[in-house]
Amino acid sequence: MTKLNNLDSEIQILDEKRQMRNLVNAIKFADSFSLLFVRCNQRPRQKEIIEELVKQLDDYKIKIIFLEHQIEHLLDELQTRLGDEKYDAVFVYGLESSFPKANEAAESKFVVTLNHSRNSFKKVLNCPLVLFLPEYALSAIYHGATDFYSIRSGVYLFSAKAVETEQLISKYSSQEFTELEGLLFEERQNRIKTIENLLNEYQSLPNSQCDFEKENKLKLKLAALYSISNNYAVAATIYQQIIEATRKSKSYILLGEGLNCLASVYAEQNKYKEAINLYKEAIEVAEKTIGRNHINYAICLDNLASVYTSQRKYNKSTKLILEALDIFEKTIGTNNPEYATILNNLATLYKLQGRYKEALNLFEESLNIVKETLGKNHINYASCLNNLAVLYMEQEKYQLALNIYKEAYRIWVKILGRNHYQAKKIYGYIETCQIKLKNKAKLPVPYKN
Amino acid sequence: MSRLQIFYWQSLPKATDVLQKDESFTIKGNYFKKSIEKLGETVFSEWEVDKIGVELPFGFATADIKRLAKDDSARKKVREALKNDTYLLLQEINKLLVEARKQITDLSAHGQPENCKDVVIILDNLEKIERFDGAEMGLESAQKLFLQYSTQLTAIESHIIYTVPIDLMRSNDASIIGKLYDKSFVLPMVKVFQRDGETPFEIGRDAMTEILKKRLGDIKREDAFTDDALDLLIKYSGGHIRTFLLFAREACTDADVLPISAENVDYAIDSEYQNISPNFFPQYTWDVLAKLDLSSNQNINVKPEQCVEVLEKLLLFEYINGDDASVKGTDRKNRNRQTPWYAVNPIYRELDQFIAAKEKLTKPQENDEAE
Repeated sequence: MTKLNNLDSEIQILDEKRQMRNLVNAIKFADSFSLLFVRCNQRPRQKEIIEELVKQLDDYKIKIIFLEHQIEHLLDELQTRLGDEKYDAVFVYGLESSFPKANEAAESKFVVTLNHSRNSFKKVLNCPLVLFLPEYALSAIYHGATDFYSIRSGVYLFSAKAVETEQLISKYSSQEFTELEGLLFEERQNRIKTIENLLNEYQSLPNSQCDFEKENKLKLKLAALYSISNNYAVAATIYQQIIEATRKSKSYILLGEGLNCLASVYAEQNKYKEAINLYKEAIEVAEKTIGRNHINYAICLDNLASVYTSQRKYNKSTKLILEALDIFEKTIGTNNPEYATILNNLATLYKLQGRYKEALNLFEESLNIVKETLGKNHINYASCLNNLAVLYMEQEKYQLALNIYKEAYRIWVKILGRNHYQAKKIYGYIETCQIKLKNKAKLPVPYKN
Repeated sequence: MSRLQIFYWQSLPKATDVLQKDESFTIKGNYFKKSIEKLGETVFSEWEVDKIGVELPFGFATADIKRLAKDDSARKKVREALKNDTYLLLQEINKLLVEARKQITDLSAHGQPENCKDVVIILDNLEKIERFDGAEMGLESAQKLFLQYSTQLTAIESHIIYTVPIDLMRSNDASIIGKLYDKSFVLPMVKVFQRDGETPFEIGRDAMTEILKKRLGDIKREDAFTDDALDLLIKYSGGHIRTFLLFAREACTDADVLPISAENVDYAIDSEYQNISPNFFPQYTWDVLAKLDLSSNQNINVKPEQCVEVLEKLLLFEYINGDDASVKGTDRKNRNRQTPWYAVNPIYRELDQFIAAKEKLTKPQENDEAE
C-alpha cells in the first residue's frame, strides 16, 4: 500500500538520489519528444542539478538554455535558440522571469500560449525537453496550461535548501529604510528582483510553513524599494495589499507600519488628503493597541504633523508636534535622540513660520541632546548641524553657517567617506557659503542693517 | 467557420490514407486545389509557405503554412479569406463525401477494401478551443461554435464526431445541444471498481491490462509487471488511461530489473503525491470534493461550475456502469443504472486536505445530534 504523505505539516522529500536516477532514466528511455519537469525553488540548486545531469549523461549532446529575459512564446524561443542543430536533450531554466507574480501567473499570455502550442513541441523537438521550474510556476502551468501539463512524462522534485531561503528572507527584511536608500540604481533593481523571487517562493509554500509576518515584512521592504525608485504606483499597490491582509489578520503592528508607509507615499506625491486619512487611521490603530502613552503613538502624530506642515497648516501641525513632544518627555525623557528628532521637526516648523529665534533655540537644544547621547561622531549630529547651518544661511549669517558646515563636513567624511553624496552635498554648501561671503564683502556696506 | 475547413485540409487526407493505397478508389476534383491556390495568392504571399496545393485523394489539397500554427494575425487573415466561401466549400466537400461514401459502400459490397464500410470523421481537441470567432474565452466560445454554427457543423454529409467541452454539456444549453445534434456520448473513465470504490470490476481491469499489453510489445505482461504492481497501477489510475500509462512509465524509470515491482509503482505514485502541493488548489476544491464524495445520490449540492472545474482538473472521475450491456428490458430500476456516477480521483482521496474537508462536513452533524 502506498503510504500517505502528510504534505501539509512536513514535506517529506523523496530520496533525491533516486529522483536523479529516475530523471536520468527518463531522459535515456525517451526515443522522441518527451516533456519532463524538474521542480526546484532555487536557481543555484537548479544549476547544481543540471551539472549533475550533464555529468551522468556524458555521451549526450545536451543544449542548456538559460532564459534570462522575459519571453512570450517558449516554442518560438526554442526554435530560434536551437536552429537546425539536433540534440539528445534540451534543458531550459530561468523561465521564472517569464511568469508574472504568483497569483496572476496562470492567466498570463506566456502560460496560455504554452497550452496552445502543446502539440507543436514534438514537431520542433525530437528529444526530451526538461523544464526547471519553481513550484509556483509549475502550479501556474498546472492551472493555466492543463493540457500542456498533461503531456508530461514526469515531474521530479528537488528540495530547495530551506535554510538559505530563511537566511535571505531575514537578511532582506531587517534592512533599514536608510540602508535601502543608499543602494545604487542597479543594486536596487537587483534587490527588487531578489525579493520578488523570494516572495514568490514564499507564496508557494504550504500554508503551515508560511510565516505571515515575515512575508509582509518582506513586502514592506519591496514596497519601500519601489517607493525609493519613484515607482509610487507599484509601491502603493503593495502597501495596500499589506494593509488589507494585516487588517484581516489583525496584526496591528504591521498594519500600522503599512498605513504609515502608504501615507508617506501619498504625501510624497502631494496627495495630502489621502495621506492625512491614512495617518489618522494609523493613529487610531496605535491608540487602540498601544495607547496614547507610547512613543510609536507619538511618532504617528509627528507623521501627520509633517503633512500639515506641507500644507502650511502650521497651527495644526504645531499642536500635534507639541503633543508628541509631551509623550516623548513622559515616556523616554528628554535626554534621548528620538526626542531630539521631534524637537528638530518643531524647530523646522518655527523656521518656516519665520520664528527664527525660537527655531534657533530648539535646534541648539536638540544639537546638545544628540551630542550628549550619540556623541559628536554620529550622522544625526551632522544632520543637526546641517539644520542649524541652513537656518543661519536663511538669515544670511554666512560666516556662522560656514563654520557649522565645515564641522558637519568633517563628520560626514569621517563616517561615510569623501565620495558619499551627503559629503559632496555639504561640500557644495560650503562653496556656496564662501561665494556668498565673497560677494557680500564686495557689496557696499548697507547704510542700515 | 474557417477553423472547420482548416481542419479538413489537415485531417481528412489523413483519414483517407487507407483508401489512398487502394487503386480502385478514384475520386478527383480540382475545386480545392484551385481554391487553395487562390488563397495562396491573396493571403500567403507575404509569408513562408512550405508546400502549397499538394493534391490528395478525394480531390483535397493542403497548404503547410508555418506561420499559421502560431501567428494569430495569420489565422485571422486565412479566416477572413475563407469566410465568404463557406457554403461553397461545404457544398464541394459534401459532393466529394457523397461520392466517396457511395464508392466505399459499393466496394465493400464486394468485400473490398477490407474493413472499410463508411466514412466517419472525428474532430478531436475541439473541446479545447479557448477562443472562437471573437467570443469570450471558455464557455462563451464553445456556445458560439456549437450552437450558433451548428448548421454548418451538421451540414457535412458523413458521420462526424465532435468533442465537446464538459462545461457546455453541463450548462443550460445541454438540452439544446441534444436537439441540434443526433446524440451526445460521455467518454467515461474505465470502470475498475464498483461504486463502493472497493469491489474490483474485472471487465474494466482486464481492459486496462489489455491496454498495457499493447504497449509492451513482445514482452509478456507477467515478465514486465508483477501482479501486485499491476493491481496498484489500476487502483491508483482510477481507470484514467493517461494516468495509468504515466504511472507505468514512471515505474519503468525507477526499476532496475524486470519484472517491475509494486515497490516501483508505489514510488511512481508517491512522486505524484509529491507534486500535488496543497497550494495547487484553493480550499473550496477540497470542500467541493468532500461534498461530492459524501453525497450518495446524484443530488450534488455544489455549484455546477465548481463541479466542472474538478472534472476538468481530473480531481473527480466520471463513470458509467460498464456492465449494463447485459441489462436489458424495461425495468426502470435497472435502466437507472445507466446514469453516470462520480468518484474522487483515488490519488486525491488519500490526501489529508480531502480527509480533513470530509471530517469537517460530517462533524457538525454529529454535534447537532448530540444537542
